[in-house]
Amino acid sequence: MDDIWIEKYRPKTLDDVAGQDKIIERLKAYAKTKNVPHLIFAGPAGTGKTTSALALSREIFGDTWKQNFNELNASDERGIGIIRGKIKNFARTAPMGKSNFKIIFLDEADSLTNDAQAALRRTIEKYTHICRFIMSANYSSKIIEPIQSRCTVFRFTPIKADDVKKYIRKIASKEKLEITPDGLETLIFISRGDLRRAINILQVGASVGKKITADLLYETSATAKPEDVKNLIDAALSGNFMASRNQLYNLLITHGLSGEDVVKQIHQSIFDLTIPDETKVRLIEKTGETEFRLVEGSNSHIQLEALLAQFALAGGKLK
Amino acid sequence: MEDWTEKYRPTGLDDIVGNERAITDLKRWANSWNKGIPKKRAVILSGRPGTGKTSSAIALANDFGWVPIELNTSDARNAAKIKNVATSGSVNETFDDSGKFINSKSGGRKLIILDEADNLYERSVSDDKTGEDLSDRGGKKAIVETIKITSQPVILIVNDYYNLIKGGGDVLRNICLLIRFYDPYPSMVFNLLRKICFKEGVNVDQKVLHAISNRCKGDIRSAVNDLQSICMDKEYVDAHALDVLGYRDREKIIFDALREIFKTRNIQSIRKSTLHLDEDPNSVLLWINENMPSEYRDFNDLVNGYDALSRADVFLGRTHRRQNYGLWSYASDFMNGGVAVAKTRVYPNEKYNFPTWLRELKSSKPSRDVRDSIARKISRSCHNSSSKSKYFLSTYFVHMFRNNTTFAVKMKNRFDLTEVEIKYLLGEKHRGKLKEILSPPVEIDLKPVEKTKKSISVEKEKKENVQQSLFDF
Repeated sequence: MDDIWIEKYRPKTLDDVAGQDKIIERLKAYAKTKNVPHLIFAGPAGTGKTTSALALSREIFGDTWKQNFNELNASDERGIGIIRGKIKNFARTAPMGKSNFKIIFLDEADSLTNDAQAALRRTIEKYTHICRFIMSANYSSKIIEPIQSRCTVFRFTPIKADDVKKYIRKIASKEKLEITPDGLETLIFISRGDLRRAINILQVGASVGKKITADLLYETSATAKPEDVKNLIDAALSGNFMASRNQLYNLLITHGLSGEDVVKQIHQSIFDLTIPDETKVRLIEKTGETEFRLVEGSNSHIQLEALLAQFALAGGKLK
Repeated sequence: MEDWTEKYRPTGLDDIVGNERAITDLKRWANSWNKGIPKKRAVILSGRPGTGKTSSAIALANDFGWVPIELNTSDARNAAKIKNVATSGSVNETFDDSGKFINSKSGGRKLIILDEADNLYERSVSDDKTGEDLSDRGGKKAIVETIKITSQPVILIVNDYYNLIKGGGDVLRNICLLIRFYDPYPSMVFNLLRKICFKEGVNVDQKVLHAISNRCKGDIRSAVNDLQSICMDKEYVDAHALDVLGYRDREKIIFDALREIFKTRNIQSIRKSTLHLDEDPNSVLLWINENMPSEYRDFNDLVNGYDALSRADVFLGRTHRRQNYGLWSYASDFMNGGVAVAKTRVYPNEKYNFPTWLRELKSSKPSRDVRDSIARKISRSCHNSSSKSKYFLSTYFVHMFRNNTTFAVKMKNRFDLTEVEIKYLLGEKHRGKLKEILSPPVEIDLKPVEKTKKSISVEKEKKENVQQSLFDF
């Protein structure tokens, strides 16, 4: 265990990408003709969007892929500045080697403001003869229509259990891990089609021991997901709203979790609570509404505090 | 009419209000220049706005007969200019900024003042992979290089020291002398204001002077500005003048607005009083959010209040996304009115607080900076966005790091982690492993037997790699 596995075991070729068979087939056709349209890779986390973009570029450009491929991430700079600065500068430089275009990979493009996206549309058009864009997004609906219409959209789906298993087994054999059958099943269950998550949990488990069992994974994935989420909910349910809020701030500010991370974990934790099922269902609805609003770009801590108030109310009614 | 803040700007260091220690340190540093070039060729004056940093720099130049050259560092074109001035011989007679010939009164020494140096990198757009600075071309590097070789004293003035030293600016920490400016006491500000009144021949009620010096919260510039604005064309200023002075008194106005929102249900009147708030809806939202839970003690009211607040927040999110600030008024009305009508009774609460969210963001900045710097290092080599890296860092990486010391050592070497960063990753509980990670036992000397074992296993692994070449990641 001498490296970060999600990077060490990131596939280098399209053939090695786990799952997404139909998409890979199309991408291989692009690689063969050495040409590619503008692309949008939409889909949930850990399904191979970045990996496919990297592998595709490698196969198209060969030795010069590093010069002709630029990876930018839109989540740090969402404004118009990134479009007018970095992206434009890279887009207008000439491609290297034999290739007659280069590729800009725009990670998390859905976090760009609408203004920035509008500016991007112009850049895409202007430099399309020497530059292709691949944009990754969790939600293609958050990419403005004019950009969507200029791109081919591929929808990445959660990776199927069998494909995750195959991949995990490969890593286990490379790392000389013994993974028990129930360990493997547990990994599939916790990761829910997110291969990045599966690999990360596996590595946290492996940092403790060489034998990966269901127990070990449950134990480490419980520590891997910040234990504070449970405290947060417990505090709210017991009516201590302020304590709960402090925990929330701790997660968001000190640990740097995103609101979406927290709301997803709250969702998972609801099932383990000792409250009536009717209450659980109502809280799930509220949790879903909260996540929806976060996705739409609201202030995460305000929305989560509103959710915690719901938990506090539900807890009060049970007493 | 002349601006009093300029008119009464201290001419010498002895006129500076408060901060005696900072002034002593500054003088000592300046004196050291008379004995040749000192070890620290630059000082950083750090402190809140209006505490006398720029004034001290100019006063220093006056006292020592140096020519102050003020440069705004945010303009990249200045980099060359700064360097030029800094490296010109100290005994040269030169022209100053305005082209006037400078007599070599004190060897024609120039004092280079870089104001707002903490804004230097803010506009910078740097390339994640190469670290190349795209917008502020060479500005940062030029400053560091300049300080290293300058033959002229340099003063950097910042509001936010952390902003200056983050993101590669930490070299500055070693090559500059840090002098902190603290907020002067109200009594000191009061004395200054009284002196100014006397010189201007205006008779101002003592109560007014006390109020201004207390409200300015150490910001001398704003105090002098306030004084000038109420003294305008007057010979006598009575206590009523305080009424017009409200605009800088943020907290009082916010508290009044909160009281109205939380205690009444009259949305027309609430609208009127919140319109006077010189705050954007985002910060009003934070103020309401902070104080609502301690006001609405009944969870039903709290839930309803939060319902209004969170929907208002959705409005604000849309406004931001569309960059259409015309929609702000809906958000404001909805949050103020919505929260007001959410209550079923009036609660006995009188104490309102500054938003914890903002306070926490500010106080956790040093530790978040450490976290972000680790996340950036990971991002660079892992094709991850920094938000993904932050999540990876706090959810998985810290555990791998704490559980497995070998892994930790490898990561330390790979990402060139600093001691501060390692401490952050280990947290309080695992602090004991710090030593082992910083200086892992050298196996070659201590355990020669194990070493050979290890190298065999490495070879074996290599062979296996060859065999498994089909599965080539």
